[in-house]
Amino acid sequence: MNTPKKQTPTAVSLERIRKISRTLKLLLGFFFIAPMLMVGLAFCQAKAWPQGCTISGVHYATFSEVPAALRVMLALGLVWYVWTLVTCWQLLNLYGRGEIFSRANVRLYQRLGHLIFAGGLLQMVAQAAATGQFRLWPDTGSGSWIIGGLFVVMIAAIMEEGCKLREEQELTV
Amino acid sequence: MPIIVNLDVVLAQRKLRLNDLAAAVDITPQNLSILKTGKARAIRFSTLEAICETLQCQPGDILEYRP
Repeated sequence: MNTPKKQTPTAVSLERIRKISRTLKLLLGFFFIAPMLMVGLAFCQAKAWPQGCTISGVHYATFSEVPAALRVMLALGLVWYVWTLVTCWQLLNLYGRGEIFSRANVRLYQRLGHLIFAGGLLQMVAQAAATGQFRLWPDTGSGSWIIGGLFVVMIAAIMEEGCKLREEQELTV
Repeated sequence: MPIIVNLDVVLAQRKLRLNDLAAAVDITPQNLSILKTGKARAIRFSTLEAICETLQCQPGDILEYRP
């Protein structure tokens, strides 16, 4: 009778990481990708503005009322949104393959940190474009994005050191 | 790298294959190959001891410093 192979603690942890990354991919798709596709579809069918829209606290009845500067910000925001989603998806793909400490992970974390930081700056500028007033001190919304982005960049730097340690360990006989 | 690994020389002298040595010292042939080809960054004393015991040699027979 064959006895079941006992999994090492590392294999158990990796399997847990794989499961969490699969769940996160589902949640990402459900909460971020699907709504974006629906909004895009509605916008293309010109049904997105029946009662107007509020952007950064200012109400607009139609899209033509939105200032040009704010439209540029919206376009940048869309690019930022898609780029961040793609980065998160790539990161989760790596985790799904069991790659938790690699150069690719470090690059993606650096990119994610810069994107989160840029998101905070974008919010500040969008607020200024919408209200016509520039606030030097960010509000709690954009402020937390800026600080959060810096934290992620720091974590990426720490992970880079972790990669070096891992490579050192792998090449130790 | 200034540290040269002469494992292949000692293996040839003892007429032993890499896979046999790997089995004897209980490390994978891949790891032993990393050591043999000079790609290793470090070697544990336990591994060095096991290799020397199997090959009946001194660490200096396997490792050489060439600046």
